[in-house]
Amino acid sequence: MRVALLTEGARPDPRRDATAWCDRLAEGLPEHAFELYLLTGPGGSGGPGEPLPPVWHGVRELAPWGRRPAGRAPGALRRRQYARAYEELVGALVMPGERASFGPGLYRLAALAREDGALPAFLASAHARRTLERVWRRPGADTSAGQPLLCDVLVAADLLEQCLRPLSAPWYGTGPGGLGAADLCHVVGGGPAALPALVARQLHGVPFVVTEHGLHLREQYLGYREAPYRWPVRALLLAFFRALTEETYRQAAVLTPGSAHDQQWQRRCGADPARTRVVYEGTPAVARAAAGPEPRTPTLVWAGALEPGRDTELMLHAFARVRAELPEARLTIHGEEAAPGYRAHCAAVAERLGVAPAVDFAGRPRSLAEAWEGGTVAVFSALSQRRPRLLADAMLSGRAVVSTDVGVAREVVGPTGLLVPARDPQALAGACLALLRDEERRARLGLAGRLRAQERFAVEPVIGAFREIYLELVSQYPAFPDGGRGDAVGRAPRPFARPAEYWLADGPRPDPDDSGSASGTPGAAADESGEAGAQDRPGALAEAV
Amino acid sequence: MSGGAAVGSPGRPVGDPVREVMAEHRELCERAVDPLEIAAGLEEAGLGPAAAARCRHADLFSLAEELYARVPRRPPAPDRGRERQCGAAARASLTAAALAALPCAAVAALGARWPVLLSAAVPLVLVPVLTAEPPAAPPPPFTAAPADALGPARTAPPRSGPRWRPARALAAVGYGLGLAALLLLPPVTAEDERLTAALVLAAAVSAGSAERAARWYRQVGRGHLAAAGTLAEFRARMRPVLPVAVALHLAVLAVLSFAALAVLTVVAPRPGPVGGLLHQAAERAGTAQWAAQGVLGLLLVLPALLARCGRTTAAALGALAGPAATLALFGLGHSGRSAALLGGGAVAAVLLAYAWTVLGRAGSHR
Repeated sequence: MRVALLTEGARPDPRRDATAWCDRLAEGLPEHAFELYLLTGPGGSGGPGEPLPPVWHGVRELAPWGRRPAGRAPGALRRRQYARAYEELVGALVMPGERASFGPGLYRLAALAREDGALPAFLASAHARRTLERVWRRPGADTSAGQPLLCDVLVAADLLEQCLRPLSAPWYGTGPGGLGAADLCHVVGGGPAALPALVARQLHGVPFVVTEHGLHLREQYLGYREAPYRWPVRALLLAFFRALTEETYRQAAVLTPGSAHDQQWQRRCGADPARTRVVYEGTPAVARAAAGPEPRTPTLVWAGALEPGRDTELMLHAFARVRAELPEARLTIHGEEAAPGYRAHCAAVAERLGVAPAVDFAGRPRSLAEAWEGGTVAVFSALSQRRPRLLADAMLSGRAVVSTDVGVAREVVGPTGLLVPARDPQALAGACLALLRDEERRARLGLAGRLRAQERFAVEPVIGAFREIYLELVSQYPAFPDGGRGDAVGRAPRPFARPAEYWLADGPRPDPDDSGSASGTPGAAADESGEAGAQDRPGALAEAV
Repeated sequence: MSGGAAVGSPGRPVGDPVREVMAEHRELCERAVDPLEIAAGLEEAGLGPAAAARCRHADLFSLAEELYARVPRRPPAPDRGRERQCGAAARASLTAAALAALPCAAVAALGARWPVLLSAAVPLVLVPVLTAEPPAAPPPPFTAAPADALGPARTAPPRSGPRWRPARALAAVGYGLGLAALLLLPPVTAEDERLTAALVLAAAVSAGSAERAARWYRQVGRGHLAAAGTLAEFRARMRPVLPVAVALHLAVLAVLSFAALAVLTVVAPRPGPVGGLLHQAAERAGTAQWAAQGVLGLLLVLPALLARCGRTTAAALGALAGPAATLALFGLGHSGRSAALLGGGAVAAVLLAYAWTVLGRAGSHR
């Protein structure tokens, strides 16, 4: 079947996890035709990058940020319709009692944009600004920290225009390359990338799956704290992202968060637990061999970006206590400075604690495997762990892991490592010492951790999970290419008339053997052709199942 | 290591554990737009289900909701530290004045012959290109810097758009051509060569003041944009600014013209009744010449205003239309002075009306 994969990110950047993950998924499911719909990042696609892997049947890009695409503003009559829809959308963002009108406003705007493509020009026009200002300053609007000023209106109008640009993408419709012709959409990453999927669901009834590794909404909440916007703009934009996320979770056929920790967030934003399924992010590091023999001197290895949130200081304080008990212990810190001046600060702290000679700021390692190999115990002291990736990588090395009990750590490490409370150097030092002194326990925990990570973070279970999810979806949603209006002969399509395998194997291809029975009742004909097709291609069927 | 551990340090009598969390994360709670933002911030600060349980909440989300309800919103104080770019504005005005005055002086000295005119036009065409500001594009939605687990990812910073797009460059060159034609046309069509040369020289120097007036207008517009509450208030605030900017430029032009006439009177006194120097200088040019000079001033300042506020195409068309109308009327048999007065005056009136409507809009001052 045809899967439209929607994601955000610059294609040529090989270090973006999302695109690498999408490549692995498409390679793992060669029986489906994948097409990539890409919202390129703030820097644009950056010119011709590395060639697209051959698993993709096509790639379509849209630049949602930057200069507005040229286009004529709508005429007076159309403008009124646009303004009504826009008013509904903005009202849902600022009026506490009107949140439910977000979806209708969004779909109305999408329908108008599809008819004449004048949406970006309208959103940038003075008319849209007036509408935004009027609704925003309406009595009862949620402006608890001050009324918006004119500059806020202008900035917010610009940002909304850019966020809503996917609505006017030339991707809809049932023709070749249109989302309406796809059997399902797969959104990787959430956020604005979900907009085309929402519209396709509304217009053509195409179901969609949402995969999120690191929730888009939570990243926005954290990121906007440093954004150069005034409070009202921040509030409006975050309300937009929140409303968009809630609508996405409501409409999504299946949600696959990257961890149970993220699942709680999704439930909080209105996701139905019955339609949620945790699929861990597979990592190719599973195939890596375990790390070799331990170094001669007992060494703690710490990896992560150098910033206050990763709490390198806590590691240094704990290490000072470890060294008081075990003077030959060493600490290797891998990672680059993410907050300016933080590395110098950490070096000063190490100096003050008197452990500077035993601490090695090693920078970015050539590979993570090498980093783990150089240590006896891997330690994580972060204040928050939002993604399981680095922890899983450490566990795959076969070294014992000590981590603070935050975020996903409990779920990922489980009983195969030591968890200590955050911001507690005494506890962290105790856990490190316990492992450094007990070789047998270290080896046992390391092996158990490696097995646990291999089981959970392998790539094949991810592929298998999505194979099942796709199949399940297609069996529930007979994604008729024309949105259920009947085929060329005029017969109304019947839902569930065909098993999912029929769609998987080759689609509705007219079978010469069945041409005689096509004059019978439509349902019977469909059933027969499905069975005949299945008998003709047992190999294809087995492969699909 | 205060913080999460302090919230529930065992053994210490704690009255209201929520109050402690509140005190510790007060800034986060005051600035939050949404309980979920507080939840994300608390999670980022190392609080987990255990801390929520100590505050007698089922999870972090309900703790965040309580905090959101108990702490009043207080947005951070706006910083008014926008540096005024006086240096850049003065530099641009001086550049414009020098680039416009030198070719005009050369034409006045060497006579209005084609090779002189053509070579004099080159620096004039370059004036708008050299004094232009980078175009204002809408800022992209804020996105956190992409980072992998081990530090900031080394990706190229987002590219800003090219400084000169083809349409923009074309508009700038058109504006420059219009400016060159505007300043080099009077010496060609004039009857009284010395008087015209003096007046054109004054107008050329006042190109700098037009540039300065346009930048001042833009700066005032930005200031009002940041301070105004609504679109209507902004329009009301901007209403007197355009007349003031134009009047300031015209006043500077009048002073410069008067000075040029005074110099001309000293250098080449006119035979006739002897009076004071100022009187003679004022008498030197008639009403029609002063009116033509005023039209020239308007045709200098209005395209500059339009170009600074992002209407480069309109600026180019306006700058080109003035000399074109003058030339057309001159071709129809009018004298150079009346052609400049009528044709240029009509174009200036249209430009003034257009600028009045367009420049009052908030979108022109981004």
